[in-house]
Amino acid sequence: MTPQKDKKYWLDKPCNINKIVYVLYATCVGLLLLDFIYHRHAYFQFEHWFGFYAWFGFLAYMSIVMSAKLLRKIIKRQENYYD
Amino acid sequence: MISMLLHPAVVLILGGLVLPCLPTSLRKAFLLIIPLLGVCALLTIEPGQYGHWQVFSYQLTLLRLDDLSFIFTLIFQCALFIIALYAWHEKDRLQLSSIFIYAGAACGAVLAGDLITLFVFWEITAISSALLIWANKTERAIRAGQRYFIIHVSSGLFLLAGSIIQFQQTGSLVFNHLGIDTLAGWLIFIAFGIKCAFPLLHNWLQDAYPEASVIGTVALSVYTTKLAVYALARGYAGTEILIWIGAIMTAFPIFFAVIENDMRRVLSYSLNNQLGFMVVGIGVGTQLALNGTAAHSFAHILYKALLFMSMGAVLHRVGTIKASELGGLYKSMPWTAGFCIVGSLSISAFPLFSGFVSKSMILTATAAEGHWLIWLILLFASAGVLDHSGIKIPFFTFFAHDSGKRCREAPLNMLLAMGITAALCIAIGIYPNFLYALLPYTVEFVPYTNTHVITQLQLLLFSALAFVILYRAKLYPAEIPALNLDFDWFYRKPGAYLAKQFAMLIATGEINILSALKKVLFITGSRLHQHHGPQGILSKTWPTGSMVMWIAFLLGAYLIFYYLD
Repeated sequence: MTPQKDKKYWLDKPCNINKIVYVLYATCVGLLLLDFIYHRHAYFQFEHWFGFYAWFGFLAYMSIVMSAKLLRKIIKRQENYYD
Repeated sequence: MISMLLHPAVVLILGGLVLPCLPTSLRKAFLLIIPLLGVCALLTIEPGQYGHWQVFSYQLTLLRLDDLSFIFTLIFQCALFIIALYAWHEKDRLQLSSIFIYAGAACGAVLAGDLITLFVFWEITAISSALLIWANKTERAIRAGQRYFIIHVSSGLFLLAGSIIQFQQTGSLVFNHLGIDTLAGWLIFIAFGIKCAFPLLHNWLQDAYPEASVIGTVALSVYTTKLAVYALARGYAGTEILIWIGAIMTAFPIFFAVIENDMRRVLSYSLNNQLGFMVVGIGVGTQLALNGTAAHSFAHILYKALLFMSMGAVLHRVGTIKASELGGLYKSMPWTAGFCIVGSLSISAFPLFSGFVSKSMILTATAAEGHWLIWLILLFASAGVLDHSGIKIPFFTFFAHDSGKRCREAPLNMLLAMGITAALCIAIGIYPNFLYALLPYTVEFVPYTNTHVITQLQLLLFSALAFVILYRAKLYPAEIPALNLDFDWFYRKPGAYLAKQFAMLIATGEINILSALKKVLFITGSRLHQHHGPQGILSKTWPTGSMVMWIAFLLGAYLIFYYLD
């Protein structure tokens, strides 16, 4: 039952991957716009800032990945370092 | 008084001892029957305390069933059934036996009503789980297993020393709230902290779990650390320092997980990060927070086992689990990929998946108590979870660039085990009341509100958006074969070097050990006479307790030197 190597899958076409990405963009815009119409039950004042969760998530993710890249420069070693 | 043969731990441990003696066909049947017998044993017991046993002057309680111990024992046994199904094809009898004894001991520790019973089961989990790491039989696994074993035995020694001091000071060994106001409380806190992988005590986890066998890692991911979470919830609920310890635990492993190449090690960092959420819940200590911790442990055991099972299936079929060598595997293993994605959505806490209904309890409880900074750290860590477990694990294994590797789909029993676990993850997400009914306190928490769902989706999808932008701009760190240093470097490099140098100095006579010993003995002798002699303060009480304490101390010192060497 090993799949054939030359079989083409839906995800092999770059245009289909673009479709997924566009759906993500559209969903993000939609979620951000929801902030105008629903009342948020919040514990903290800053939660009421427009799109707080959206930009917090975006910036947190960016900073995690970029600082991990810096961290790699310091702690990266050969795979057999301890052997 | 119930028969001790009905003790769920005894059922599983006896099962583990009988398993290797059975012929193959019977063994395969019993692999699935024993966990069910364990669940039956648990369900027949009424809440209460059983098995009171007087040993010398110590009053032991072998079985205490209440709401908190029930939920942990139940999920431990459900997980054992899943692991047994996943390991159904396994021929290594020692490994199968170890898993059952390990699971049984973990149940025994959760059900223990006193500190000595807890200690005994605590050490059995250490021994049986180390066998699962050694079962991989590689040089690396053997050395990682040794480090793991020594650290866990020392955790037990802290527990023993703390228990003895507790007994001397209070005259009781009952395992209830302990707190960190006494020396005994601190020693036991450290014992639990080692097993719970507190920051700087955490390295055994990322060191050993990725080196264990395919099925061994799944079992390891379930029991040891969640036993520690239970013990902390029992003994240290509301201890404020835990809020900070937990918050640090959620945050620091995510940076290591981003750049780690071994997928099972990524999951180990991720496990460490998830424990942080539970520890914060214990530290906050309100009913909602403790419910959150219990619920999150329950949900976490399932989705983390699911993720480890899917990576194990890949390792089983492809022979490697290094991200730099994987990619495009959805073509060969579509079912495994699908189950892995369910695990990823659950751990990332997407609405309709299990992590959402449990993690939101902890976040709400933290906010309700006004811990705004901690709450922000947890939110930050949630974005990190989406990266390493939500995106990195499935994306770089099953999608990304096609590695060209083609293999067969995972064996049927592995697929069934993953399928059942994935179904449970979704079921808990859709019908959270099923899980909430098992929690220690009455639940008045509603997970599916507009605010919860929309804010969580905003957080997660905008994090995903950040990933897409970074990945398309080629800024996302590439998967490269490399090793990343962590805190264990201090004892694996300079620590080991110093220990060797010290041994050399003694061997070459640079330090005259005999004359030094004579001096020490003379001074010790006079001190001993002072404290233990006819007028000595320590001769007033019965000496067995202090003897055991000193033996524990000696063993501890020996372990440290052995470890560093």
